[in-house]
Amino acid sequence: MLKSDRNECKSIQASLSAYIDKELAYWKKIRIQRHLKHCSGCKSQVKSIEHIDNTLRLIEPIKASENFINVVMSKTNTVNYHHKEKQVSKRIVRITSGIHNWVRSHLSVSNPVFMFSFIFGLFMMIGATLYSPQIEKLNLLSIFNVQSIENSQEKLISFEVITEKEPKRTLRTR
Amino acid sequence: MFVSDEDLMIECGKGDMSAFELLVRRYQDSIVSYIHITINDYHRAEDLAQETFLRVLKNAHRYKPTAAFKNWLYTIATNLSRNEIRNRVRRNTYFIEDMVKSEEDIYHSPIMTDVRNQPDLLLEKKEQQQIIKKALSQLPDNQRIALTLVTYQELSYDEVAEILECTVGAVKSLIHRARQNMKNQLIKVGIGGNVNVKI
Ligand SMILES: [Zn+2]
Repeated sequence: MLKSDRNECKSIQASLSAYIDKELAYWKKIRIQRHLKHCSGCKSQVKSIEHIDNTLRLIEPIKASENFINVVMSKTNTVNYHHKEKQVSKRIVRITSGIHNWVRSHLSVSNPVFMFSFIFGLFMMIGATLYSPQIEKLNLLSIFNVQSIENSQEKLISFEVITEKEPKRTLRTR
Repeated sequence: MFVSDEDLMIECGKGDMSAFELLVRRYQDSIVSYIHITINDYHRAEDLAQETFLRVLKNAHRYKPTAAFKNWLYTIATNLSRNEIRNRVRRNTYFIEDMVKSEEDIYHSPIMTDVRNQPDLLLEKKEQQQIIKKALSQLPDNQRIALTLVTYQELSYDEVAEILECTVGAVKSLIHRARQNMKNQLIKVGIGGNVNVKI
C-alpha cells in the first residue's frame, strides 16, 4: 500500500462515524463513497461501526413509571411559589428600569436647567457633608460606653449654663 | 392541532400548568431513558428526570424561544446526570447496578411483553443488555453522553454541540473516540465480533 493511500485511509476513517450518522457535507460524503468502493480496509471499518451501533441498540429504551407525571405535578407547588416570588422581584426591576429610562430620555447633559440643578445639588450635598455634625459627636456608642455617658452629661450641664446666661443678655440690651 | 414545544414553553412561563403537563408527557420517557443509560440506575434516573422537569418549570420565565426547547431540556438532564456521576465518584460507588435493580428495569421495558413466555430468551437478552451497559459505563463521561444522545435520542451533532456547549467538530471527535473505545470494551467482554443482533 502506498503512503499516500495510507494517509487517505486515515483521513477517511476519522470521518466514518460522521458518515454513518449522516453528518457530513455532500462533497465529503461523495468522497467517502468513492473511496469505499475500492478500499476493503475502510469498508470493514464501516461494518465495525455499524455493528457497534446495532449492539448498543440492544439496550431497550425504558419508559417512565405510570405515576411519574403525578409525582412531578404534585411537586410543582413548591416551584410555583418560587415563580410568584420571582414575578414580584421582576416587577420591582421593571419599575426601577422605567424610572431610569425616563431620567435618561428627559434629562440630558446638554440641558442647561438640568446641568445647573445637578451642580447645585452636588454642592449642596458636599456642603451638607462637610458642615454636618460628625458621627462621633452623636455618641452612638454611648449605650455600651459608660465614659461616653459621663461626657454627654457634662455637655448637657454646659448647655444648661448657656441657657441660664441668655436672659441676662436680653436684660442688658433693654 | 399540534402545538410546538416552544409555544408550550411560553405558555408555561405565563403560569399555564396544562402546557407544562403536556411537555412532561411528551418527554418523560425519553428523559428517563436518557438519564438511565447515562447513570445506569433506574430509580435515580426517575428522580433526576422529575428534577429535570421541575427545573424546567422553575426557569420557565427565563426561557427564550430562540433556543430549541429540546436542547434546553437535554442540557438540564445532562447537567444533573453529570452531578450524579461526580457525587458517585466522591462516594466511590461506580456504576454498581445490582441484580435486583436490573430485574426491575426489565419489567419497564417493552420486551417483557414480547418474550414473557420464553424465559431463556429473556434471560439471555437481559444478560446481554447488562454487559453492554457495563461496557458503556466504562467510557469517559463526555463520550458516553455524546454517544447516548446520538444513538438513543437520535439527536444531530449540532444539537449535541449545543447541549454539551462545544463545537460540532468536538462532537464529531467525541463520537469517533466513543465508538472506538466501545469497540475495545466489547472485545474485552467477548461480544466484539459476533453478537447476535437479531435476538
Ligand atoms: Zn481506505
